[in-house]
Amino acid sequence: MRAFSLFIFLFLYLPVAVIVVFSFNAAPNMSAFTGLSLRWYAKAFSNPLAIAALTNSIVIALCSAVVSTAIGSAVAIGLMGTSRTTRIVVQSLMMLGLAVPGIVIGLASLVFFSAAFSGAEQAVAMLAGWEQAAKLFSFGRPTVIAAHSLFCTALVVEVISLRLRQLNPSWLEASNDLYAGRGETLWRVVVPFIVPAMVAGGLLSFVLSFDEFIIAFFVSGTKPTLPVYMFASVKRGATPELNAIATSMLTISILVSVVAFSFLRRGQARA
Amino acid sequence: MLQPRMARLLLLPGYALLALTLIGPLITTLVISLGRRAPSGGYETALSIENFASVLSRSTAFLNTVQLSAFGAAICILAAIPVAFFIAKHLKGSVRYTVLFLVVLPFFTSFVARTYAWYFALGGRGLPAVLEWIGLGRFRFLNTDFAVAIGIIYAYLPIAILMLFVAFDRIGDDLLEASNDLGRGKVETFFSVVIPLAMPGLISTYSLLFILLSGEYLIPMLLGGGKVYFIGNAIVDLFLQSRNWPLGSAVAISLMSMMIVVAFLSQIFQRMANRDGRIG
Amino acid sequence: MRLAPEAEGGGANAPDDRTKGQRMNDGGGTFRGVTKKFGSFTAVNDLSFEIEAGSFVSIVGPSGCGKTTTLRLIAGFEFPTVGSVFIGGSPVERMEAYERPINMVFQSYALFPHLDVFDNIAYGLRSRRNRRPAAEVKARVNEIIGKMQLSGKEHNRVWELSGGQQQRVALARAIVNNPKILILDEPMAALDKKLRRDVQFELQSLQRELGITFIMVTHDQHEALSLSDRIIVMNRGRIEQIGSPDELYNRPASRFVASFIGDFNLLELEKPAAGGTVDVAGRVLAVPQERAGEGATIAVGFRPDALKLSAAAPGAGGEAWRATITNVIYLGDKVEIKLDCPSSGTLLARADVARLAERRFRVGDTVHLTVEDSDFHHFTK
Repeated sequence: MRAFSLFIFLFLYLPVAVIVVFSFNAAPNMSAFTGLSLRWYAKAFSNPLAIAALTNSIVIALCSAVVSTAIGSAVAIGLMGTSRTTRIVVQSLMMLGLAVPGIVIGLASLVFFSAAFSGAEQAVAMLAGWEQAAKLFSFGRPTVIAAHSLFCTALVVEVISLRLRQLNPSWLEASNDLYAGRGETLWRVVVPFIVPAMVAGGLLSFVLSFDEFIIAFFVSGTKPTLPVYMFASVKRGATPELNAIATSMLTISILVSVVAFSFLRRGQARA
Repeated sequence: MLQPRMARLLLLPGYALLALTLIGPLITTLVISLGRRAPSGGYETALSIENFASVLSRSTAFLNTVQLSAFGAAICILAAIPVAFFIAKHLKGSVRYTVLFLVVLPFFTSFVARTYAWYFALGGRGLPAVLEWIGLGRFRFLNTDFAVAIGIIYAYLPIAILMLFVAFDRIGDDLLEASNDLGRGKVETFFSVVIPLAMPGLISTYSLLFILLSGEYLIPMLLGGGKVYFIGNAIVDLFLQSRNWPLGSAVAISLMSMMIVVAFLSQIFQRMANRDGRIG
Repeated sequence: MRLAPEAEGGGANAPDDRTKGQRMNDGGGTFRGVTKKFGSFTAVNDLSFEIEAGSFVSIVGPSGCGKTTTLRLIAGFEFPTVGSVFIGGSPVERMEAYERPINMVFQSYALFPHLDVFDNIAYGLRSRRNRRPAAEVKARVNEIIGKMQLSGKEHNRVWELSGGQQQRVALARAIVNNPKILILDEPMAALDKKLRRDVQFELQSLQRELGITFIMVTHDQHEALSLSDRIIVMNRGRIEQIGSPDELYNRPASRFVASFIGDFNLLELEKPAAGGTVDVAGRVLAVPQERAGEGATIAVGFRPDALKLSAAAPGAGGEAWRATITNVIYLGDKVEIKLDCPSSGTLLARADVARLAERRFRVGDTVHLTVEDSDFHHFTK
């Protein structure tokens, strides 16, 4: 069992390791490893298309993380004070947002935003008589952020609800007993208690949004995110440059994930 | 502790988000699936179920998807069981969580980059080159079912291990010790105690994997070269190439219906397994 | 009258007034016809009692008797379905917990895990409704930290403390606010047995020193007997008896109180008293004067200490029963003997080991039992 587990570990990490190693390869083609070099990184990051995609991805991931942490925290706290029915409905819808495959969310968002945009443009054209209204809205960062915020928020709600379940109800009573009203108790007891979960949820949202491919594939319009850009490039064949980009992506998501999980564990330890 | 008025206020942005990104899009998709393709592509208002009848013309994609998803999910579970059990019952303290973290970490790292890693490893200059150099002959992995299966297992193994870890972790060590004490060896205990008690977890893991796999697009596209045709590929083709939105929507709705059926069956089986596995 | 410190004009010197012996009359509590229902379940039924300012009162009873609900009604975590609650003469039954001049020590302490010891204790003094200047907070918290022997632990995380230290933080966090009433919910439940005795003494001294009304809920009758000025015995949502420990032990008002406070040998009567006497297994007892007006005696009984054993039949003066010894339990200085008596069922006797030294009782021995008439308690309920 130990040996098998080790084998699985190798299976999980070896291909990634190969990519990382070859991204530092000095050789001009990929047939053999000839020495260390950063030339492919230099090449990748002097490519304006790659830079644009990276910037795009970072901006989208940051916005998704902020939006979903804010909404998700509010929802998780709000769920503490609602009826059972409301709680079950909201939680089920959030779970649905996580469980519906990206490809369905992607195409559904595409048709929804198309319909909404053309509807809004027609309305503007009719009301304002503005001929240019047809170009008012387009797919891009906002549509990706909106679509990503769904599953990111669902994740944040889940992470924070898990934390709130460890909240001892007598802390709230103790706070009331010590002259703090409901709002003050929320601010002085509940919020500090869930801060680690909020940070972890936000960071995980960043990672998930940063790495997400299929939804962005549908709704990013003419501005690809880094995964979409990479996908388009891979279809033309593997290159050392792609190795460098893949390694950079892995590094970013691993770093942020490690920080996120350390916050999750810190939260656990204090419960 | 929260006043209902305040709770409602806090939930408001959540409702807005759900309406804008989940309910609105899904309803729109349903409406479009009942419509007609406009001559120049896109959508034209209509009310018919003929798109759902045409879904049958994509039955190859459905069959392919179901087969590979069922198979891939099964392999994932079989590979995950020993690892999850090892972590849950043989590792202690901080080592345990570090190992679990390392197993789960890939799930939170770029999907495209990881799939690309296999694309690279299975491609002409990767494994085939190594095998040819050793003298085992010429092999071709990319663009085969095998490559897609590897990619699928690789991508979803971490989540399988995590879910099974949770299922195994719930089984108290005392139960295993009691079984040992009553004369059953490790293997016998595993099959007569661990597996029955973990059955609900096994079922839910399998159904989740099946659902995740059947929505896959990237892996069959990259590692199958588009030759291994999933529903996901059909949806993307219909939307982005032939611009037949109504048929694409109908395919997507059918896919979701299939997943809902699987999730529902999984619930039923879990409940049955729970009844059997209940203790005390 | 919302908060103790404000009501007393500069809170910090309020305890000084009390220690001078001027018991402030505003720390008392009154329940008047309080009923609390949860759905169709009546947790507390028509409760009326008064608690004297500055006293140490315990509420005891079996689990589910309504003692915790009573406590929560005082603290403001529950509101009466019917009836009124007064603190220091003013009605508070519609006030929220954060508006009442009462503080509580929670059963599991409920210390805030994200705050250190100092910030936990300062929590109440920093609440918007009760906010004190930073300098005063610092002074008061530091003073209480010294008093509670927590010096040096100010900036420790609360989960790093031992159980005893956590309890002192919980106490400090409550009393630093100079409440009119301090509520303690099973304060010893989380402590190990050895520590419990020490803490009981400390708690008693603290109450004497502060002069604050203490109301403690406990399921441990020994704890209640040793600490309280008065004890409220509850059963099934009602009060069985209120009295000093001595009254409860020596003059229990009901069979329930007799059995709940200390050990008791209860003998249910087959036929109620008639004509001023009762017949207990062939022995005729006169019903005492003070019980005569309460109705027919339905049971009698006596404490284990009142039961005397002898190997030989007693002289003409005492009526005797015969019984067989089933268990002998040594408790160090005392010995408990369980007996099976054909006429009265299982009985318990307790005596000093020294007194029994000359005669070793063994399981299986048949002995004669003697109880003085005056040691019998008579019950009408």
